[in-house]
Amino acid sequence: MADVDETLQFAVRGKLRLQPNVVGLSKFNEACQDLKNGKVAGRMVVDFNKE
Amino acid sequence: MRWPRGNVDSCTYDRSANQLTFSTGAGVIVKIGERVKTLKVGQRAGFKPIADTCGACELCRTDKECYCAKAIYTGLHCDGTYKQYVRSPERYTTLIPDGVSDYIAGPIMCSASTVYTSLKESKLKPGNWAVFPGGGGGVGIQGVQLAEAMGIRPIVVDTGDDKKKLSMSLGAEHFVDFKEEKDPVAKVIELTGGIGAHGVFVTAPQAYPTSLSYLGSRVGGTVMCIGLPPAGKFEVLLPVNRICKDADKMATVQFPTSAGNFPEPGYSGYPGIEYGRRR
Repeated sequence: MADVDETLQFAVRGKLRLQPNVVGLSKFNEACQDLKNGKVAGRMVVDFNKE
Repeated sequence: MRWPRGNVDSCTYDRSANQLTFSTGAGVIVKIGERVKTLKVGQRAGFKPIADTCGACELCRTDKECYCAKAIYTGLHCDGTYKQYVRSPERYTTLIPDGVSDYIAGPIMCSASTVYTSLKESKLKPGNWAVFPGGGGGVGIQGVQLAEAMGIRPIVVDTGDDKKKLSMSLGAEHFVDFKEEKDPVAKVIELTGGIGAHGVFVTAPQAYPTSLSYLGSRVGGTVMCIGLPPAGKFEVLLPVNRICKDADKMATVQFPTSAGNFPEPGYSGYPGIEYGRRR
């Protein structure tokens, strides 16, 4: 728990600044396949408020 | 990802269980229970790979609560975050500070805090070299950013222009492309003054067999085991001479990431390597 809060503070200071690849629900399957195949540089985020 | 893929020996995903997968997320509190004392509707909050722990056992009374035998794993014992609304106990909910977007906060709930704990427990010091095999991936790249912020010098071993660009823009001092470089280990040793890295942070399990070699002749080097490999694969051969050279060798499987591997408490797949705490 405490380490999660500490890590968030790095983000507050802009030290964690990776912009993830954001996809909507419709791209969910493709995103999983890309991750599985090592095609994603950095992070993948699924936004449930996006199509 | 690893729950549904079911390829970690220490845990099996029950496909018949009616639990949605995925472990981490960020969002806004839309409703609170009647016994909730401090959280409020409208606050931003994160959801972690462990949804709750018992709060009463010996481990829960220390900072090792993620080892709690009664821990409720997100996406295994309760629904994961592949849904619009999730329920999270007040005690174990993480509030997200202003100025941190959901897109950055979500991955912090697992991968970034995991690798942060690993960096702390590696005992590497400012100025030390840290090698990240697979560092262009989701967990490694968080480690690269945090390492740089902590004054540690990251070297990423990975492949492809995308990952090179990303790694170099987020704090890596060097990028060694294992497909272009004939001998990536020799290259890393050359880059680290002909000696070798102080620490190796293995987030890509395929890198375990070669992980020790990045230490070169460094005395007191450390290999931190973060990503868990599929059962029986990618093991580390640990020669005794190597252990003698690394008197303070310590390796820790952190709570690994949204790439998501969850060892049972006390799980140890490698001889001579002790698994430490997870977050």
